[in-house]
Amino acid sequence: MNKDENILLLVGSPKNSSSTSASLGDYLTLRLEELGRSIEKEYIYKLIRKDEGQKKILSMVDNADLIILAFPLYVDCLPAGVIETLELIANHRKSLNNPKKIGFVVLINCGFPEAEQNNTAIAICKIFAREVGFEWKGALSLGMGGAIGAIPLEERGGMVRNLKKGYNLAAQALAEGKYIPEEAIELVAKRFIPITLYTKIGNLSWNKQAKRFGARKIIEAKPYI
Amino acid sequence: MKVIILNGFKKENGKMARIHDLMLEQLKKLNWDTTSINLEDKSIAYCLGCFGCWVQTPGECVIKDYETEIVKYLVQSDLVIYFTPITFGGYSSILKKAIDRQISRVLPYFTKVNGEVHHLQRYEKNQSLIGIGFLEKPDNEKKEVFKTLVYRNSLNGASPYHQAIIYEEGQDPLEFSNSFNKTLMEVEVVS
Repeated sequence: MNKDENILLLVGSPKNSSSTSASLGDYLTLRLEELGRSIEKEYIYKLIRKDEGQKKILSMVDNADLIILAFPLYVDCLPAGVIETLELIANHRKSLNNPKKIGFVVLINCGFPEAEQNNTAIAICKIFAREVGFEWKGALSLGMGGAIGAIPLEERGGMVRNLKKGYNLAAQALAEGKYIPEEAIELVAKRFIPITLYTKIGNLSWNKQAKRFGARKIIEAKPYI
Repeated sequence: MKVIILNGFKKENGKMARIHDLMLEQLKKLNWDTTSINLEDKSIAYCLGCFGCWVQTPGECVIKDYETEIVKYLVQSDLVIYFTPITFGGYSSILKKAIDRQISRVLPYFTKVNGEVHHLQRYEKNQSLIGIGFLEKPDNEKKEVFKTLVYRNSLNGASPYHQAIIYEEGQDPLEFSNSFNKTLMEVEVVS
């Protein structure tokens, strides 16, 4: 990949900049910037609701040589706003004569401990790439996304060392125009902490959050029966 | 039997109107209480990912729009049918918008299902799930991904029964009808 080529980071979390997807996307693109690449960043949920925003997405996509799509797993696949964006891009690309080849990278995270739970969403992204003529560069798939909690990876300490190593390797490969190496994918998918510890901390954290809203005692409410 | 059909097609895509009619006919023959919702007509916001439906107003989304009616109906149903054009192997964004807003049906707490972590169910009654997808052209990869997605959703929803039915452009509607009927019989057995 040449230094004058454009990289577009699309963050597909409804939480926009306050999301784990943004933390992951920012970490990767910062490494790419350090390697001399220029980055544009946009938040899908800030744009997709309006015609003007949709036009902006399409114009940025047309201008990009590499697209990095970062999003959280929602009910086993992509969040609706991200699917709508992919539908929009697909329709647009159909209307173009000889659309240019664009590289496509996916950064996905889920709140479950197993990164494998992201596999269906990744398969959907791969089919999208095939359909619109993007070049599939690979996916970095992360479980335990809740442990990042929208905090920059640099501030997450030793827990994310494998994750950062994997992202560094991926940045290097992408800057050289290569595919994301298997080693990077494996490092990113490694669990930060044991599953039982993660689920225990997770369950306690939900109770704590509900308490803050005065809803701890009704957390198991069944309002519709 | 109470059934809810979530229709994720755009009205301009009339190709599946005949299939939709066939589904309703079959369900009527069985005397199942069916509600079909054309999602494109409804005002449904995107899920905000705020988890308010878990920790702020448990069981209820903090956004008040038509999705509230869908979830109310859904939790009392025996069967939910996702009706969608197969979009890159998954659901259309119209359908997915309604699905994303249904996480109030589960609790925030984790549990293990088949050795994998999922959420505990909020309600005792869980819905069987049928995913009906339309494919414009034969595509085995899309078919497999669609089937896997329906299966994965059935795990997260603790569905007593699940099935994915794929209707391809040009296929005999009668073939679909037979397959749908057989599936309904199987749903009835487990309900």
